[in-house]
Amino acid sequence: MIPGTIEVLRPDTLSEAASAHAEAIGEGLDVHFYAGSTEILSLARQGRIRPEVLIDLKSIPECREAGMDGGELVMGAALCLNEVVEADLFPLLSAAAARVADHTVRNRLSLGGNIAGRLPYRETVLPLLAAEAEAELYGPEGWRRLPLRQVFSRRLNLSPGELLVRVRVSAEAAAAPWYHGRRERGTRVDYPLVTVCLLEARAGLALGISGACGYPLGPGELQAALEAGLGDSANQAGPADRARIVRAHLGGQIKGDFRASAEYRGFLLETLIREGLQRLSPGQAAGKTR
Amino acid sequence: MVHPGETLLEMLRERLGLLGAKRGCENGDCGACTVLLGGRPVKACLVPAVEADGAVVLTVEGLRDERLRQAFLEQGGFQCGFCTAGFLVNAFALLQAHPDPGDEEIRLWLEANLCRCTGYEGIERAVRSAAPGVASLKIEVAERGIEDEEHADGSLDGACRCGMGRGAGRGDPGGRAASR
Repeated sequence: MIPGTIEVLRPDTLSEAASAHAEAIGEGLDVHFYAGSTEILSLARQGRIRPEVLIDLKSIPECREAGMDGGELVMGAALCLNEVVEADLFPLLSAAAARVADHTVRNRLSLGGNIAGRLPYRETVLPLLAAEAEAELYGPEGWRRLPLRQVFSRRLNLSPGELLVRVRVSAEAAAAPWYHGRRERGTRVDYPLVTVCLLEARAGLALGISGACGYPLGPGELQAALEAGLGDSANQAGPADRARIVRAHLGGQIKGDFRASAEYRGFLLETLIREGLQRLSPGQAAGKTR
Repeated sequence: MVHPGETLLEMLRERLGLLGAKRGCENGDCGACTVLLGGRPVKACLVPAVEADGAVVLTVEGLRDERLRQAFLEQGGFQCGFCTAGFLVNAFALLQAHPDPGDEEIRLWLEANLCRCTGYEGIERAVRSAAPGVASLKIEVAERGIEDEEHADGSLDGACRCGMGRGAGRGDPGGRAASR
């Protein structure tokens, strides 16, 4: 049980949610938006947070959307990951979401929670960054819609009182060839040592990685390294060389800990990037690995 | 009435006397607390009790006389039994969603539950052997409404339709917020 005095609110509209949040802040209370609640309960049990007001977003229609809207795929932040997988509107995102935790926990983990949470992996953000997704935010100043990469750098950076409502991806990007690879130390439900997502975006291959460093990295941080070695067709580096260049580019950012050494993580990273590039080479079948 | 900080697991066990869902890790790892919430398997230790407001929660007690239980008995799907309730509920949900699951589908769903005794083969055999018939059987489910502050006694059996509208959350009838 979460000790102390807690109020749980379930607003029906975004404006109610924002007002409730502002009122709690005004009273000096520790307030959290949530959808899945898994991280809040875990952190509260550990004493790392002491929530006093919880605002459940699952009754707000905009946060639960899943479908196409004018040539764009729209997904609400309060969708659970299994709902994202079952809708399968963006196969790379489905592949990434399907590997987070286990099937039962994915009935609670939300898309927005996975992106905005404190755990450093945030794997579902990788396909969205690769697809140049847009984020729709709502806060005290109303709506904001902007490229996700502008509010995500290692973690989601929102204005005070703001919440992630939904994300939008072009239908073209959602249907693009893709690769997803993930390696863990133990079982499939473990946290990743390395996750690699590749998407054949309009502007070229887009790479996202998680697990190798202490934070996810998207095309903005990796594109230069990925494209290094691409000269004219006679001098173009192959998948192995390009993977090696990306690994070298990250250098000391690749972490070592009790789960795996930096050397091993770097090896896995290079292996998965090489495999992904090979799969997305012309004539190869794209898709996910195990 | 529940405390807003209570988990679904705590409510089921301590207020409703439904002891089938077990306290294991209480961290969402072991699956011993698995129940169905709105038809989906969830780990009750990771669900706020207030979210059962108006929902149907199916616990292992609601799977009485279920063919799946018999399959676990016949196929050696348990030893100490601590994890079994969670496996039964999750397996039941699997077979509702996929009446004839393949091996990969079975592993995908059941990797949410840990067993330290059996090595999992008996459990997987039980799920496979139950597959052809489970979806077509009716479940004997005992539904009991919870009114105001009246709680079930320890003999309560079966699923619980949790009428928790009153008192869910502090000073917030129905658990829904009007503009604060």
